[in-house]
Amino acid sequence: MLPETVASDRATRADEQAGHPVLAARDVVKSYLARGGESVVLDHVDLDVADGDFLTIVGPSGCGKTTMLQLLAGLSPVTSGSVRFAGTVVESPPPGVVYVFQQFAKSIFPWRTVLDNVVFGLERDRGIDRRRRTEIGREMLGRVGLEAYERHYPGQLSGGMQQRLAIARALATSPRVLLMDEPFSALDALTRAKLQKLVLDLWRSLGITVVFVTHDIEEALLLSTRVVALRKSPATVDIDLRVDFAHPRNPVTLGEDPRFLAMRRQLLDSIYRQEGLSYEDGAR
Amino acid sequence: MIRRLSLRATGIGLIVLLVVAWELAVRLQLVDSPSIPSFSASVAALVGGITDGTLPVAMGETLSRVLVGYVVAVVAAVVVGALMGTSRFVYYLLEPVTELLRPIPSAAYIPIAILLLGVGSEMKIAVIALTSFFPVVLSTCGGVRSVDPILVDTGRTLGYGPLGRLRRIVLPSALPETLTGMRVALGIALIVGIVSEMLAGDTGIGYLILESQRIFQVPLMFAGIITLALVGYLLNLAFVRVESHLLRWRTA
Ligand SMILES: Nc1ncnc2c1ncn2[C@@H]1O[C@H](COP(=O)(O)OP(=O)(O)O)[C@@H](O)[C@H]1O
Ligand SMILES: [Mg+2]
Repeated sequence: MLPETVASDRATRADEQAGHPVLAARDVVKSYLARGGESVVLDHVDLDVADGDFLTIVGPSGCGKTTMLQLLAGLSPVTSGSVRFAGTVVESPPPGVVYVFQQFAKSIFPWRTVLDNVVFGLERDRGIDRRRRTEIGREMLGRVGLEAYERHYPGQLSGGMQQRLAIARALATSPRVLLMDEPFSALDALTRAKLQKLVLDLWRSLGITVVFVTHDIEEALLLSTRVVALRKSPATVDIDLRVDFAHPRNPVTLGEDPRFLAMRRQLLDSIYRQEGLSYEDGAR
Repeated sequence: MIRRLSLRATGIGLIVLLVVAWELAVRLQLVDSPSIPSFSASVAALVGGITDGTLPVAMGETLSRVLVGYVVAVVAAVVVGALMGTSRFVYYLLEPVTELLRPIPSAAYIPIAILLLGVGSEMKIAVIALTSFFPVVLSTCGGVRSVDPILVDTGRTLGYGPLGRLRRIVLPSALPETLTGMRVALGIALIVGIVSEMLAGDTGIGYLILESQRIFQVPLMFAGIITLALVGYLLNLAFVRVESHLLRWRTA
């Protein structure tokens, strides 16, 4: 898949192995000007994302997960501190880091066919001619199971298919880092399970780094190699867990693993505490 | 389907009925004016005017000015509309002027334009361009302002700078609105083109219609009006075809 680009990526990846994280947030503060003054969302957050990791950020609703992801993507500026991608300070969205929006349906160009959506990010690159673009586009559509729909318009696709399209479009540019904000929260359970498997397969076969946001702790533990729980207002890192279950993971048996249950409990504890809930409330 | 076709047939039937009524009203002398020709006489004048070249030449003069003014207006309006839609400064600079000038009826610009530019083609093209500019600038600006910010951010994360996003995201996203303005503008351009010929100069279908009336060649006057109706109809048809092709994703 995409031999030239991946090969050149490997070269830059070598110096990453020297211990530099692929993404590094240092002492990051993010505040918004709200009515009645400044509201601090992220308060001196440090986060290193190691190359090849599948890192998931969890935390109570409104704690700053989306904000954090947008800072990592270069879509939103830090108030102070810094974000670095491959050692370089991020000031605008860097090539090599692609963001998939929570409202993925609104991120798809309705006037472009499925194939023309997928190749959108490649049209900027004069080194890739039309034939090659189509080739890459078809390859990506094949990977997400949309090859039969290349001439359709997005309006003709279901929600799950639109999300597959958004993921394929992001991956067509051969990024090193894929950022996904609650990508499956709007989908039904079965579609979600299929897409979880798809994203895991893509992560493993492409060797990319994924930073994922969800409020679903089981999903986080099923997918990730590392889970970070944010504490609420202003957000700092509350828990940082390495999740070292072997891949491929079976969602059914994994859910019965005592270590999984212990991690789940630790993360739920954190979120319940944020929300001021006790287990008694939670269990009703 | 059959229902739709038969509905269509009733509409065309009404046109036939009106034409027959016109013909009969003149033949039976129900119309009390000897200077109103019958439909058949008007059609005869139409055929004559087409074969001797009078009508095609006059219509050509009109259309060439209308299309030049229209194209200039659309290009300028898309650029200005995009600037107004993306820059708050440009928006607050130009919005009051456009709102002030817009309600002035298109034809009212003609006397000013005659003073500044005379009675020739330049004046007519200028007025056509100016008056068809407003609907396109306002609709484009509206379309650009209502582009979903997520689409724009998608462009950013996929590596596009401001110009690339404007060309590949913002303008295509505003296209349905731009086209709505362009359709309104096309109607205005045609009207202003004809009125300007009636008020100044001695060329074009507008001049031909008014002059035929003045010298009592009433069948030719009607022939000119029929020509205008047909050309206007075909222009609109062509526009709708292009529009539905460009917006085919909406019906897909
Ligand atoms: N553009 C913005 N302007 C002002 N406040 C914002 C903006 N975006 C997010 N916030 C605030 O920042 C906090 C964190 O939001 P967000 O990152 O979306 O949380 P999460 O994704 O964890 O639910 C919320 O309190 C939200 O109201
Ligand atoms: Mg969020």
